[in-house]
Amino acid sequence: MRKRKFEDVLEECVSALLEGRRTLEENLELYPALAAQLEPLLRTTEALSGRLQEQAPAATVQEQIRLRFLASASERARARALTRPIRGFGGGAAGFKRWTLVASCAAAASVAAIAGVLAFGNSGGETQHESTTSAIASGSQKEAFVLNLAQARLQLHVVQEKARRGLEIQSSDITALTEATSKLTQTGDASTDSIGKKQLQPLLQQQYILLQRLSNDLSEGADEQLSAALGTTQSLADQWGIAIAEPTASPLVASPTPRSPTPSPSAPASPHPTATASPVPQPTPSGSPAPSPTAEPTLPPVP
Amino acid sequence: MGGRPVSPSNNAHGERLMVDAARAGDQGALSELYTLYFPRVYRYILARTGNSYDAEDLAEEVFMRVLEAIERFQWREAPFSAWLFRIAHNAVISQRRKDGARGRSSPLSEGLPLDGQGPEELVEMRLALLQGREAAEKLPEAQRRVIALRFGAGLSVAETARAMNKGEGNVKVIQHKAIAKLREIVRQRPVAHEEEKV
Repeated sequence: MRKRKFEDVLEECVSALLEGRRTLEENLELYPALAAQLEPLLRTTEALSGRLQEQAPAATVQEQIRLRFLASASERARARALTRPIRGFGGGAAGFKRWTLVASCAAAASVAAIAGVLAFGNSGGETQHESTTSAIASGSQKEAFVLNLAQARLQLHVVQEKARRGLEIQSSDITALTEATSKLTQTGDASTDSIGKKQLQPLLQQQYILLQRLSNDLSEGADEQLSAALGTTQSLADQWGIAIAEPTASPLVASPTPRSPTPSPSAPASPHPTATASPVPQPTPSGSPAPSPTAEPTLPPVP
Repeated sequence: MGGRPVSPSNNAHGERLMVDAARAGDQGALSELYTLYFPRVYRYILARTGNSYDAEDLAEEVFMRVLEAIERFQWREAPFSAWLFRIAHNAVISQRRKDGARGRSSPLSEGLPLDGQGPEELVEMRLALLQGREAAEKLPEAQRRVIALRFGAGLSVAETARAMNKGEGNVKVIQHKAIAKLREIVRQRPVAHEEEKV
């Protein structure tokens, strides 16, 4: 029983530690009778967890895998759309009955369609075709938007990383960023896609800040491409009704401009956000509230 | 970089909406699901394998498997995180079998600066170098899983229990044993530099 209770306390302290609700010392203060037992275990937890949480795949790798994941999802959706009617015919006797029913309906529909075409021409067929095409186009648009979004993220990350490392940002980088953003203006449905909007917002904000800072660091007249990129970013934000906050004034890393051929490798890291930041807001911990540090737990003393 | 391992399903309602949309094939929801879970799956696998390349490859494989299976996912059976990390577990086991058949093993890199370190700091540093490989090799399977799910994936005890098909009390016991054993392993393990000096 006592052992069980210790494990409950340990778990409570581990959770509080992992979620940042209490420090190791606060945990020990909360359970002074168990402090000697808890301390080494919590130190181990802190070190191991800290080490693991530092690990993350490179943002570029993560975005590449995202692209493949979404492309595969898209392929599957198409394949499913094609095979769904066929699947319905399987399943033994019931399937056969369903098949004969559908076949007879199809035959009847064909006869009616032929009769309709003979009587009125093929205008009805065209209407149906148009609506089907429209439905398919609508689905494809959304898929295209998500893929374009992933590409835009990837491109933004490339420029952010170059800026962060003080590497030279090529004109082609900014052009690629503009193109990726421009593609997004052609896909997606700003009026209905709330998830798309939610995903787009941090991307546009980060991109705007990056471009503004790059623009501030440029010599006079050197920012045509950046102006175009900023314009496209702003247009996309307007299209989706996304408000972009102005960046706070802070210097960018040395020489990451399209015109400057001499980047400084010893430049400090940029303070602006990088693509490693998750575009989706992380949920906040909503576990049970931490007990008051003054409340002494009623556990038996540890031998 | 990764922040504190707060369970993604703390926002259960939002997660449910997202998972349901993803099941229906919504690309935006799938992308969001990926954003939310990919780093956690990666860290889980890293804690199990100790190899970052394997972790990237396997995490990708897990998400491909998710695509294959998400239509069949049922809320009544388990929370999404439990379902997802079972897939991740199966991927790790499957990879281990393949590696076993090929006779492949990843080296564990270690090496510590010893100057000016007290015993407690030394233990901390050893722990800091204790990447998943150590846990993967020295702990029993159940303990490895609990450590990877709790500290790598950031699941709660309840979610860990569901992912492992065990009771919460059992998970707490396993967690206690695992942490204690890790502590012991690190205390007992000779440091690479010391071995070299000898």
